[in-house]
Amino acid sequence: MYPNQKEDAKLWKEFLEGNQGALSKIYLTNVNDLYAFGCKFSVDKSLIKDCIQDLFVTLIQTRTKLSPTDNVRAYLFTSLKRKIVRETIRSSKFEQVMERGDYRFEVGFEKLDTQAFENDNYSKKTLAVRSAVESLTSRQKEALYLRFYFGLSHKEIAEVLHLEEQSSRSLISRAVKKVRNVIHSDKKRISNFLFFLFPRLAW
Amino acid sequence: MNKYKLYSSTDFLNDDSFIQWLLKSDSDAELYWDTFIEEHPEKKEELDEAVEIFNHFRFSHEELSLDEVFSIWNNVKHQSVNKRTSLLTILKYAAVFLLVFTTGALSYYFYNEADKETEFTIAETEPLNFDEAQIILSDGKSIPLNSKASEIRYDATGDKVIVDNDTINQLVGADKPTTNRVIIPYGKSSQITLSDGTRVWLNAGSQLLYPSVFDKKQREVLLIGEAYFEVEHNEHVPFVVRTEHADVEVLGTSFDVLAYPDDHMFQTVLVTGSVSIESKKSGLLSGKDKMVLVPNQMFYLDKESGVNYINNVEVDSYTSWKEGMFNCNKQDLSRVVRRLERYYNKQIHIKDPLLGTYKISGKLDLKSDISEVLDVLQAFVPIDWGKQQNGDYFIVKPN
Repeated sequence: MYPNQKEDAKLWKEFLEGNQGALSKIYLTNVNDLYAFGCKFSVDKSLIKDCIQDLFVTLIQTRTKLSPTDNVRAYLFTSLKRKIVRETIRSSKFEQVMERGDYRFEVGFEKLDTQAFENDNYSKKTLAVRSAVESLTSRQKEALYLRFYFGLSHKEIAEVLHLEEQSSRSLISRAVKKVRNVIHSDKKRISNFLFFLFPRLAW
Repeated sequence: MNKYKLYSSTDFLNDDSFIQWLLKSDSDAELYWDTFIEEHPEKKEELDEAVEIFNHFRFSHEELSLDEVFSIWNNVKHQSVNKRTSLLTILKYAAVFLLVFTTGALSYYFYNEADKETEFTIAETEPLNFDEAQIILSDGKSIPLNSKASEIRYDATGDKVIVDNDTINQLVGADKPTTNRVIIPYGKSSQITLSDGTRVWLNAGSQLLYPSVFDKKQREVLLIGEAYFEVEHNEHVPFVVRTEHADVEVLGTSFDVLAYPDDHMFQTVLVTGSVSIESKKSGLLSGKDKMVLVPNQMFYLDKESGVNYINNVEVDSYTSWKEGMFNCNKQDLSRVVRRLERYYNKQIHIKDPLLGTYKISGKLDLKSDISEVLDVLQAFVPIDWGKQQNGDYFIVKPN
């Protein structure tokens, strides 16, 4: 349950019944999340904005064919992603043509303040975690981002990624374990070091 | 049996309510997890690890400007055939939205009841710049407020506005909407004398919408953010402060109202006289509640859960901001920092979430430089602070 879920669902129902003002409220509460999410698929900001615009135009034009939903956010995320993926494939004339359904997802991290945290253990770990995350597949990264940034439930992630709920769980688990290993390898190094100093203690 | 007893850090991160707690902790969830750890100390390590993993993820964030938000919506309206929503409606909701914008939180709406929608009509202006202190008159004209603590005064007829020392005339038609609006960004404040003589101190990051002349039956203003009111007594014409989550109604008294959209709570503190508070949508509870305060009492409402209560408080701690002081009484460091951020218009990052729960009591002089204030804080609690390259400040555990 996200904070505005109930309100959104109510507005969505009003919109389906023909109240367009309701959609403008849905737009206002969600547009920034949609934009933030969209920007992870492409560096082309104007493309993302066009897709958001197109998404809401489509909603208005196809209103009578839309069905009720109690999770407006997941629905919007899914629709926007579909549009962006389609558009990026269409516009990438010179790049290698991606396979159907294949897309790039770059999580992107907050800038670390290198000066303040030089040689700081925590920042080193953060860097290690980041490079571990970068090495994940696009879908794993997307799942992690949706979960840890927006707090999407497994049900919502499953919807956005076209998965079973159980697969969302194992996607996150695998990614988290990878990150955990990075954090742990640090601790292991210390215990190896102790073993080297006091090998007998380990007996 | 508690299912969490068998959880590993990975399991915790796979649990929906655990993630909700990390992202947006409210007091209920806080209590739940505190109790859980007390009862199952053996799970502390796994839980801490889950939090640590989570904390390593700080994703970059892209945001649209308010301008872009409007222009995209305008294009949507032009492109779709059945267009009905006016820019006005959007502007009205945006009034609430914009403050939320900079913080990335979610917005809420003022007006649920359709009959109230006409009460404050905002003149259609050029896209507003909410980073600049300004007063917007009923004709849509915007006048910048240049001083750090500006002063605005209306005469009884409402057609003369004195800003700092300049007099501005505005036409007040009887039939036209005459809503005026003061926007004060973070880092500034303002003092406004309304046409009925009521004085309002507007805190940083706040907005006040009010008619240049009040109605004969009711005096109404709309507040986003925090303000201190000294209401001119008039027993025939009640004074109402409308906010997102509650309305405060008085005859003549002084009180503080705190209703920032990006805060999780609404609160009002009464200094003299009496006020009645009507909360609107109390989260899960629907319907309206009416409460009456006597002096030295505070009404507190948790927006999310709808939990509300009345407390006896030392009013000074809540109203001292208008004198440039900040009194705190056992307040969380995170809340104190939030106040400082607003007041100085600077970002302060608490790098370790646990630091945010330190309780602070004392008096901070906000007139001095922000670094001096942080130094004072450092004397109170075991923290270190520093400045990042981008001008933001950060607070960390001392080494």
